[in-house]
Amino acid sequence: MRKNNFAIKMLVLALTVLLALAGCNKYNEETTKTPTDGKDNQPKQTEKAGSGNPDVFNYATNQDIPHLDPHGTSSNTSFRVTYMLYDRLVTYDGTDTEIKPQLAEKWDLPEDGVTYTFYLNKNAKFHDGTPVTAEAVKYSYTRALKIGKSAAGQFNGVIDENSFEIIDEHTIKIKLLKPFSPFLKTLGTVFGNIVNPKLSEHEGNDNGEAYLADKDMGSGPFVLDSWARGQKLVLKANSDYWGEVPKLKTVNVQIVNEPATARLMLEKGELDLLDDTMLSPDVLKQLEGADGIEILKSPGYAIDDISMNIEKKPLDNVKVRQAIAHAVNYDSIINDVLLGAGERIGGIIPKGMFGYNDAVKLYDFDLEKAKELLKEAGQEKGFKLEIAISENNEVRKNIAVMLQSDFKKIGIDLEIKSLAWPTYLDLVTSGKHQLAIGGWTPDYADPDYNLWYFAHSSSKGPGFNLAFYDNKKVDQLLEEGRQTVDEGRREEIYKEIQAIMAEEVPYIFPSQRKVQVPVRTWVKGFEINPMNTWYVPFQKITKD
Amino acid sequence: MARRLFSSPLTLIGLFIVLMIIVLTIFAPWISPKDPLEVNLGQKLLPPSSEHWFGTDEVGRDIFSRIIYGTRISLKIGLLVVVIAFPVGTVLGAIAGFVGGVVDQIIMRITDIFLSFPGIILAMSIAAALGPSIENVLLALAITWWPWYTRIVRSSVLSIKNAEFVESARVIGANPIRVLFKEIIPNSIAPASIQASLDLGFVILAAAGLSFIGLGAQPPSPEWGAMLSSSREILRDAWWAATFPGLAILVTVLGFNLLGDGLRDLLDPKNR
Repeated sequence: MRKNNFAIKMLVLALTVLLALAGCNKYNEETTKTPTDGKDNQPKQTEKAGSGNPDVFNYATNQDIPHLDPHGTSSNTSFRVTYMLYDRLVTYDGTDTEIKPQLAEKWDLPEDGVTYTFYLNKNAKFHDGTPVTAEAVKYSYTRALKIGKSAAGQFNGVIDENSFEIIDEHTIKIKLLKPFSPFLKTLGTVFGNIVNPKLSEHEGNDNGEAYLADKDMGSGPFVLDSWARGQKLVLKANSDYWGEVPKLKTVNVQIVNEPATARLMLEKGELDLLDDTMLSPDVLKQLEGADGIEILKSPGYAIDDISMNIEKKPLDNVKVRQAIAHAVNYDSIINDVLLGAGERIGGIIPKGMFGYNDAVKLYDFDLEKAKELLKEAGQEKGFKLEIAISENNEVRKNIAVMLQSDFKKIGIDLEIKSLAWPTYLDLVTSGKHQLAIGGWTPDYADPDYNLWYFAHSSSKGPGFNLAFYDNKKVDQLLEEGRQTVDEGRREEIYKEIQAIMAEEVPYIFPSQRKVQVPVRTWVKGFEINPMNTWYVPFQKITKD
Repeated sequence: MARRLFSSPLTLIGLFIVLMIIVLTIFAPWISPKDPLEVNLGQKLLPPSSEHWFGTDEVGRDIFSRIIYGTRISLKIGLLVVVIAFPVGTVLGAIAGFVGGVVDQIIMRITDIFLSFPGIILAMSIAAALGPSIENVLLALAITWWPWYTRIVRSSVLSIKNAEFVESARVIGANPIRVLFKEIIPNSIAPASIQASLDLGFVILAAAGLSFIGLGAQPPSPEWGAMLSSSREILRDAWWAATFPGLAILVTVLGFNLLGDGLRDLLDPKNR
């Protein structure tokens, strides 16, 4: 009996210590699989010498890669990989937010407003050696529409299966259903990836989605080497690439769930680069000046947003929404939560992008004003609200906790719902939420992109109008903007929309983020694109 | 009896810890120096000092005050889970043992189903299905916990079912329900109640574990597991944010276990 007691006590002690050290414990698991095991057959000594193996690049993220179908996925982690496996007619490169030619050497802009002609590079070939043809372009875009998922959202209403005219093997005409000024920009996004038409042999009854989920049928600078789901995805350089062959021979995209672990691995040189969303500003500040590590900083187009579901009472009242906007301590979010890595913004168009309106109404942090507005709305007695956030995001959690503390002072009892990402997504897109904190980065630098998603009434819910905002005037302006070619007029339109939205506040925009990426100093050629911060140009990176 | 209880220093320590926790729970508003929910971002991640004994967390809340308020949550969960699971388990176990036959079969097979899953995994899946909140953790743990009592009580019921005092109660014409509640249960409950006192600590630990993985207490609740979880990332730069909640869990669980052990030594007839 005595012995037994002792055993139980020891067990409890051990369990408690285990719980307390859960973070560290995880690390031990991870280090047993150093990135050197597996495919690369380099001698161990080179690993120890400074930069490690210059041919092998180790990247880490804490979010899993769901699947690799370029037309079906809406996950940044998948984008990052498919952007390397596939090419597009046009692409984004470096820090530039304008398109550059890729598979299309050149193109003719429409004279009638709707017909584009693309001339393909004749050297381009898929990983199996077959050339990239006009047929492949038609096949890919038609497939994107047929699958009806993320990529279709971009092409619906713009093109359909009859939009294509194949002139010859390397020339294709695309006729839009109606004028859509950002069309070329959309083709450079991950949804514009061109897939090998040989996929049609494996289509089954789901357009080959299941088949392509863990395979690569692209023409890009990298090929898929192996993928241990939830652990590591390995890319190999495509030595026959029709363009410039990447310097790195192997890229390991590792899933490291615990940010603290990733940080340690970076410090030890086992990782070269971390996902920019992985570490909180507090940790980045600690890492600043660490030996062999650099925090790359760059302007970004990422905007934090708090959506207020206007279909839920009392958020349907504009006075209540304005009161809430006055109860957000913007300075504290930027200075204390983001530690200065952000700036104040009044709308969903980021500073630095075409169409940005610098004159919209900004709400100051003023609890008295907030109380007054609540009184005018007849809500001075106070009420309860729920705010949804996705878990494992320190910054959003801290913002939510701060809001909770401040809202209490104006009589709003804020309950925080911290949910797993899929649950969160389901809640907000089905409109069951009241408030939700999210973030948004445009896939291409056009105000139509951000505003159509956030403000058009047809985007409610799954289209990411999470405030369920519905304003006829805004709808009409957005539709006009899409069909207007004159840049001056377009700018006016988008500025006007931002001004209307700032007055009606379906969303609060606490900050426009600066991108901060921790990277080993031996990494060269890594440039941050303000728009697609998930995009890592592995094809240009070198290590020395 | 009291002398025997106090003769073991370990039990005394356990008793002291438990009493301390009860005092903290009751007098939390008077003892804690600060509001546990007051966010002060200008003072975040301050190391322990005379102003903040245990330092401040990632949004500038006073960790000492949060830990004191945390005793309320932990104690509430521990007690409520046991208070729900214990009577349910006891009554079912007694019925199974006393009635026997098909009823016994049905109750014990259901019990087996629950016991065939590892407790914490079952609690995790229930809590995950119900959605993250401290009340659901409570429910999940109660659902996972009762079968243990059923088993213990059933076996001790079986051993006294045919004892002479039960027989005599029957002979004088007491109806079976009266026999069950007046004779059987009171005389077979001791082992299960010792188990229950030990379980308090385990329940607190399990609840902290569920909160740690995000299924339990939601912000801004000063639940220890949740506090540990949110300090993970800054563990290396702000040791105090993780250390003190961890210590709080350790001390509490240890206290309940030491006391439970002492009670077992005292009440278990086999130990005399």
